[in-house]
Amino acid sequence: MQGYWLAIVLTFLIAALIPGLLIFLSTILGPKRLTPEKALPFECGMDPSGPARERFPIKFYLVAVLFLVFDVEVVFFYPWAVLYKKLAIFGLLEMMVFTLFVGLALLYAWKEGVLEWR
Amino acid sequence: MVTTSHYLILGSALFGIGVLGFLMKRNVIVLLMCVELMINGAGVSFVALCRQTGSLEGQVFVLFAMVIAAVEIAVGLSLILLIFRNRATLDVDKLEVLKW
Amino acid sequence: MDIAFPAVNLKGVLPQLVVTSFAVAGLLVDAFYRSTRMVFAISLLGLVLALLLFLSNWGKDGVYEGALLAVDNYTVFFNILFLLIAVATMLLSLHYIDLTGVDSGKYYPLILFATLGMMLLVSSMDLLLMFLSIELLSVSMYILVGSQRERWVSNEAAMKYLLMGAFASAFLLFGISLVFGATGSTSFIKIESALGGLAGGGPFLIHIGIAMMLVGLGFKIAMVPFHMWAPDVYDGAPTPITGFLSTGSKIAVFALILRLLMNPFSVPYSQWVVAFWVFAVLSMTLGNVAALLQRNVKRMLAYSSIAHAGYILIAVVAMDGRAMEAALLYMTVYAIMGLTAFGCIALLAKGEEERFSIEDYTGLAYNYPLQAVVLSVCLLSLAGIPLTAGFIGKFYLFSAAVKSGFIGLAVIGVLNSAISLYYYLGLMLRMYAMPTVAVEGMGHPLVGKLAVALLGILILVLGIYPSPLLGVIKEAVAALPAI
Repeated sequence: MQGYWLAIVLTFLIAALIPGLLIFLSTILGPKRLTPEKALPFECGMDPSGPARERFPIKFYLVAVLFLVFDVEVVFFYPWAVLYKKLAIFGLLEMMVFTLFVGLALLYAWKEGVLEWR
Repeated sequence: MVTTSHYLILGSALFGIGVLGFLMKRNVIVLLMCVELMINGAGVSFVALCRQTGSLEGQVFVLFAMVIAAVEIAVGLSLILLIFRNRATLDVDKLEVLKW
Repeated sequence: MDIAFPAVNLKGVLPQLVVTSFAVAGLLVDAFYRSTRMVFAISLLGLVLALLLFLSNWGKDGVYEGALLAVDNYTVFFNILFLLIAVATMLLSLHYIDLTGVDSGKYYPLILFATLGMMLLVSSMDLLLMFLSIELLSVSMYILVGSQRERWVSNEAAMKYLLMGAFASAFLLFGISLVFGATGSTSFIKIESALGGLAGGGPFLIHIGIAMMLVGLGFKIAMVPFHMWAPDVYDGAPTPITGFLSTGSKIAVFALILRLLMNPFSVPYSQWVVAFWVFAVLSMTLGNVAALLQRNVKRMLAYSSIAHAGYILIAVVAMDGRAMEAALLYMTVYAIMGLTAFGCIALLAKGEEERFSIEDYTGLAYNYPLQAVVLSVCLLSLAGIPLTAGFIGKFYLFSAAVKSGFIGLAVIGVLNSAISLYYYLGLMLRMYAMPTVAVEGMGHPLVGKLAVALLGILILVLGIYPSPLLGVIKEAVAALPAI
């Protein structure tokens, strides 16, 4: 049993060793000439401009807020799922009412245009 | 042996860190995070006391508290957006038009 | 594990269901048809329907065993009061929000949600429902306070309210967890029986729990020393919402506190009387003194509302049947006065600009006789001048305190009323002084004027003939467990 796992561990080790060795060798042996161009964040494309913490479109926030609320609402399904059989028809009805309201909320968000990626 | 008291201390510590952070920090988002910490501190003590007293009400309470926290954060984030759009700042010390 | 299914009693909660469905319907109608008038009509219809249902519930007592909600005269009384407050707020908002750029399609349903929070709060018989309804109330209020999206003060007020409110809610939650740990239940009835068997007002844990709950609830009623958010929020909020906030939200939490002290916490309460005494004195004194210094009418009324919370706390200290009746009476009267005062200010709004500064009220009576007369009646009532509702309220409150042996508290209350006379009458006299500049403002909003005039008449009627209201309040208090 142990030998079985040992083979896998050895494979991982060898797999990590080979690229590690290559990177190590190239940093030792390779030439290093630092030019101002290389010190830039990217070596291709346009020169960076402005601060890194730029403003970004509000739609990301809207989606994030929507996700936050709907994601947490789902937490209420969990106890129901655990006790599904015992709660029987009563639980089913309760959850249907709950789902109806969550669905109405989604419908509202939809009609308000939150889901559209403008 | 980890007893209920340990969990209560953990919960109170989280709550206390939240209170201190709320009183000391200046960024609105950090303040909301501190409130979240306080709520979750209460959640930890709920679950611990639940195990001790053997009733399930506390567990249910934690689920509801999580949802309430999410709702507060959602409304808070929307207000933060409004404020940022109007003033481009998130510093609570800049919320100073209304005083005395 | 056995699961006890709760007895579903839909008839008992029908009014709450009606308010919920109409609020949701209002939001959906706004999303689909964008018709402000329809949303207004739906919201108003929901409130009126719930009101009628509650009126038919009057006198049918019954706390449902093991239920989350109590439906008795006490809760029905408050539910009707909240619905009336909501209706008045809606009528007073009608013109104001058109003027000041509020998205009215969301505004009215949010008022319904906030009202639902208040209704559930007074009816709750379980800490879980209590917490949830406080949050429903608060979150709706955060949004309503910030509903003037283009106005910076509104944004700022909403942000402050949200931060302080969330902070307070976390305290409340932690307190609830400790009370739950000490008693092993969240149901009021079970907590009561668990605490009843304990000597010395229960273990130490329960007192820490009560203290933290008190911090949380104290924030919501703006009681000194947890009041610092109130002036800013009252000042920055849209004026009808200020009225709604200072009456509905405050009264709901007060009604809950009275119930909590009656029912589950009656045993440990004996050790908390002194604390409430201090809070009452601080709230009255600081509120009135700070109001004296204000140059902004809205802030002045905000501080005066803190002082009125202090007056109601007198009843919480005295805490017997008579004091309860006085508290209910004072809350009803205060609701009418608060709505009238902020309603009058809202009616004087002019476009984006509102008239808040005290100088703006000079000579108001010459251009706006109705608003000035109603506001004068309201200010006299707030000060507690005889023949107004405010006098009756204060009279019952102070005499209840004296009869329970809290003479010092009553004396401090009377002294504070005397201080408050100065700024209330100052504003009133200013309105009848000769105008230095011509006051021009909005047109003549018929509905708002009518609502304000009705409220003003109500103040006078209750001041002269309060006995019907007193009879109703006696029945409401009788529903509570005897002390």
